[in-house]
Amino acid sequence: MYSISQRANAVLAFLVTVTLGFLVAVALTSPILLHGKGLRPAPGQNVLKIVDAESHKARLAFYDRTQNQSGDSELAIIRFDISADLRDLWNWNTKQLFVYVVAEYETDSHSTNQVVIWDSIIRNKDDALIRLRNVKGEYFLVDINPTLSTVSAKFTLHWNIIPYVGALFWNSGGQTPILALPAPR
Amino acid sequence: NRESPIVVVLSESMEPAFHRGDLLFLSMPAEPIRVGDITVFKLQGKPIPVVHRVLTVHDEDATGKQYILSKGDNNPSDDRAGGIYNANQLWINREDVTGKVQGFIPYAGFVIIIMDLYPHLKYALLGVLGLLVVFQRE
Repeated sequence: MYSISQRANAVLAFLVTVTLGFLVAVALTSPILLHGKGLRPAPGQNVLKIVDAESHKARLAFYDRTQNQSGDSELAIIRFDISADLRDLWNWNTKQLFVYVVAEYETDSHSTNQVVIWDSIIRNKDDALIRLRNVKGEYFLVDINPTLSTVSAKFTLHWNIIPYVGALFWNSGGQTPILALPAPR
Repeated sequence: NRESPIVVVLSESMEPAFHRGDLLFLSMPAEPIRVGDITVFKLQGKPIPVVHRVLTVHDEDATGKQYILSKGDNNPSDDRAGGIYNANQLWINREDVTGKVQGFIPYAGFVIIIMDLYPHLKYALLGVLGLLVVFQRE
C-alpha cells in the first residue's frame, strides 16, 4: 500500500526530527548547568595581578598610514599573574573556553576603551585551572590616540563559553585595581 | 535594512570554536559592541561577510562612533595586520557589523555549502523532487 519512496521519506523525516530534538535538548541543558557558575571561589579575589607595565614610544606601521600622525605613538607591554579556577564551567556541552584579559580605561575623547592584551583557548577541564606567572601580554596596549601615559586602566579576566551546540555565554571576573600607566622609557 | 539572521561558516579562521559548515545564529543587539563579541561584518567591495571576534573597541564621544579591531581566533594576527581589512583601513565601525553570534548548530550548514559548490546537485535534487511529485500523483 505504501511505496518505498513514501517509507523512505517518513523514515528520513523521523530521523531529522529526532536529531534536531536531541540537539535542542542538549543545547537547553547548558543554561541550566551553567547557572550561577563561574570563578571558584567566587567572587574571584586575586585572580589577576599586574606584575609590570612598560611603556614605549614606537613607530607603529599603521599610524604611518594616516595623514595626521607623526608616526610616533605610545604602547604598553603588560605582564601579569593569573590564578583562575574555571573548572566549574565544564559540562557535557562545553566545547571550549575562550579566556581573555581586557584593559579598560577612559580618555578625554573616548569614554569607553577596551583592549584585549592576552587570550587563550582552553579545550579541557583540567586546563581550566589556570595558574600562570609573569605572563607577557601578547597584544600591545595601544590607544586610538597616540598618547598612552595619561591613561589609568583596570584589568579584568573575561571568558566565552563555546558549547558543542546551542547558545554562547560570556562572563567576567577578577577585576584589578586601577593602574596608572607609566611614562615611556 | 534587515540582514540574514543565519550564516554558514565558510573559513577556518575561527577554529576550534567554529568549523566550516557550522550554522551560526545571529542577532543585532541594541547595546554597543564589546570586546569578546563574535561579530559578522561586511567590508566594502567584498561580497562575503567575515565572522571574527572583537579585540579592541574605542567609543568616540564626539561622534558616537565605535572604532573596532577584530581578529580570527585561529589567525596569527589581527584583521588590520593580517590584511583582512581593505588597504589603509584601520578599523571597522558598528555600521559594518551585521550581527553578533549568539548560538550555533555544528555542521548543519553543509547542505548549503554543497549546494553552492555543486550547483548541479541543486538542480539534480530539484529534478528528483519534481519527478517524485509527478510519479506520486494518483
